[in-house]
Amino acid sequence: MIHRHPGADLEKTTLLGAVLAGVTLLRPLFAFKENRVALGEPVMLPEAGGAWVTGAVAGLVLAAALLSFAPQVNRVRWAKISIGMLLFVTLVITLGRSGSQTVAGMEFARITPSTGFWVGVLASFVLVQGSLHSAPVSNLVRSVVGLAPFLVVLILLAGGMLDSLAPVQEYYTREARFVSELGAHLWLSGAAVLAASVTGVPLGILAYRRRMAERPVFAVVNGIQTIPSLALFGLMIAPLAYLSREFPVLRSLGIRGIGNAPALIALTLYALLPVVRNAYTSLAVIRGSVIEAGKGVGMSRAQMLRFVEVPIAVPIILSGVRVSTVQAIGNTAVAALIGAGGLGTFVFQGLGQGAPDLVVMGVIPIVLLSVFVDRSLAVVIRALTPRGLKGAPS
Amino acid sequence: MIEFRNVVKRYRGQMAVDGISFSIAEAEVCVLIGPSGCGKTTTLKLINRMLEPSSGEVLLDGHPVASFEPEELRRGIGYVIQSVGLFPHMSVAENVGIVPRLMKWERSRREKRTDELLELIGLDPAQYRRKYPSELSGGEAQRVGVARALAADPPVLLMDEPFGAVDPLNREILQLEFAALQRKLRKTVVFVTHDLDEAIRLGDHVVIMREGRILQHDQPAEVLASPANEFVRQFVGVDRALKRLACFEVGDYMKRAETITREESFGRRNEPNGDGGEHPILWVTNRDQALVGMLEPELNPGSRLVYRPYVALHPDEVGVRPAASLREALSRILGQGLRAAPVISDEGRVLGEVRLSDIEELNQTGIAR
Ligand SMILES: Nc1ncnc2c1ncn2[C@@H]1O[C@H](COP(=O)(O)OP(=O)(O)O)[C@@H](O)[C@H]1O
Ligand SMILES: [Mg+2]
Repeated sequence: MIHRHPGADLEKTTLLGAVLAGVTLLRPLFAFKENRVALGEPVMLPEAGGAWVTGAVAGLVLAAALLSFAPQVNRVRWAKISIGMLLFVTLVITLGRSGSQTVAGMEFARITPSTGFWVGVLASFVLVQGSLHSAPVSNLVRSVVGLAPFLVVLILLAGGMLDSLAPVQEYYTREARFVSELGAHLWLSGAAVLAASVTGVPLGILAYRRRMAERPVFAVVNGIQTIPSLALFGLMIAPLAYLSREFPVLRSLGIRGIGNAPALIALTLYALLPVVRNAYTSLAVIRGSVIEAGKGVGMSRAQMLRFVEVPIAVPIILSGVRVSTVQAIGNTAVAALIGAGGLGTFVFQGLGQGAPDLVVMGVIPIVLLSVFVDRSLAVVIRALTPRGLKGAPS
Repeated sequence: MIEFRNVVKRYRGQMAVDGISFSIAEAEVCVLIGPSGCGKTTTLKLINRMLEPSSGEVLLDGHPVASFEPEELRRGIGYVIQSVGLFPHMSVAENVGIVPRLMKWERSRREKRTDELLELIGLDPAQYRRKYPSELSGGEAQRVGVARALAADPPVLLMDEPFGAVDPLNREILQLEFAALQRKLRKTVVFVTHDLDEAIRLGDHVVIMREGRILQHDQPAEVLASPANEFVRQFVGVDRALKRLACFEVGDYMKRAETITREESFGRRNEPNGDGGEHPILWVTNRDQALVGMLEPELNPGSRLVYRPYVALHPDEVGVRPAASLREALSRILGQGLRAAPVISDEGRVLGEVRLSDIEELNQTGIAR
């Protein structure tokens, strides 16, 4: 047994989670609004959930606080994870139920989650991830626990239980538009990443193989990355507008100073760096001795590719594509500014109309999309990484 | 088996190998040695066409290597590269089985061969087959590198500083293992090193190189006994007499030993000195002929031969095996302060003895020439 200092058992993360969870009892859970632009009236948890729910949340806060002094053994970890999950589910359900009751019978009324709710969600995240982080569990369990809250929200949404929430209402009033903008968003980021991969991988390989090309290639792709995205989108407008004016062919193809074409070009340029850098690295990590050994055992050029270069390089290249994709999903939101569409449209509309709920409605699917794509690609990359290279820095 | 004919290799005007000619016989270990940058690696790579000569030719079994397809040639020549170069993404079994895989052997045959080779290099297949290079120690990785080179049972093995990256203790173990393996496999081996002790220990012939040229090509004992020029003399060092002893086996210089039993030893304290000449150490053995002690004669005997009191001995501390080198025997003799060391079998039986006087004589004749 390792001797432990008594104070060493205090788990600061859990204590932070408990303190944050406590905030839900002290700050409003949501704000009630009679209509879209009305000022909200704060509603506290006891008012929204009643004595039982308030008591339950208080109990969870207390339990988390006590557990932060318990040694980090597995059972304690799972207890904390459960507390975090319960807190989340309780808050979301209370929000939905109380929201529906509050707005019942009022056509334009809605609720907006406030500080108490958001801090509670944060507390739940801290409690769950803080313990899951060090728990000896498989990646599958990790993913399931990580995805559970999203699943809960989706089920509640599908069941109409969160309909009183303002962002949901904003969604209902623009359902068709939402679907088309989501499609545009996916199309724009997808096409940009595809274009960036198709050009970036050969560029990275070129930069590695030809010393002459290395500096210029990286100077350019690094340079692009330093331009603020808004400026880059702006930069596209003038030359494309000019080209479109001079060459009617281009105009008939839909290429103008604003819209899809400049957005796609800018997004592609942005997506280049991670792809180029990783394609370069994927070859650089293959040690000279390994290539030499491949030659020495009598591999042909094609066999070298198949047995050595591809297995080592592909997962690293895909990691670049993954970073690039997540970035592109975020950058595409900005592309709405030059009329390219996408989920950013709602964000900027919301900002323009002073309707934060509309902003939230635009932002949340962007975040979910990023997380989803990031996680899925991570799984694919893990599956493709040869076992001998796992855990190695890449 | 391998012949270099006036081979030159230039890199953009820089001379790496400057017109070398020599040949290597079948089943011998030829060690290329010399300071860093003298062209050892280049010479080696000219054999399997990793490099092409600027002029001259290399023959393998009488055929110019240039007449073979490079890939075919390389699959038929085992190559252990300077920095191990195991494929990091392949398991030990996949690394070892790569040449059979390139040669399209069936999986079952490949797996059988892989296990066989792991056994051969002393790694338990069940335990090591599925490991990855990052999980191996330096010595294990080197062994796997050797196994990979041996996979398709090539007649020729090229080894470029194969034990260069391991610590001295493990290097010695690997050298001994390699020597034992070579006695079994009898490959034609071209072995590059810059470690003279390694060259002496392993080489049937040693090729000393400098600046792309061969300074001396000889048996190790000859190189040490009569260095071809001042450079070689300095290269082999001032203690070459001592190093040279590593070339000789105890078994070849063993003399008959006098043994008596413990019971017989009781009376032998003091007896007439018949001829007045040198008297040998009496090695005392037990019933199983195993060494248990000795009676040592006084060094300045008068008219009577006087033995010192019985001294108990431990065979592993004083004895040497027949396969050991005279260098080891000498260190035993000097360490014990005796005139001879007993040669013992694995069971501890006394087979004979090696005498200090014989070792000294050997060195004098050797160096004088
Ligand atoms: N690819 C290369 N290009 C230019 N010079 C080289 C190259 N490879 C080796 N050399 C030079 O050739 C000489 C012999 O090299 P090498 O055979 O590797 O020496 P060793 O193996 O004995 O250390 C050295 O001077 C080295 O600098
Ligand atoms: Mg070398």
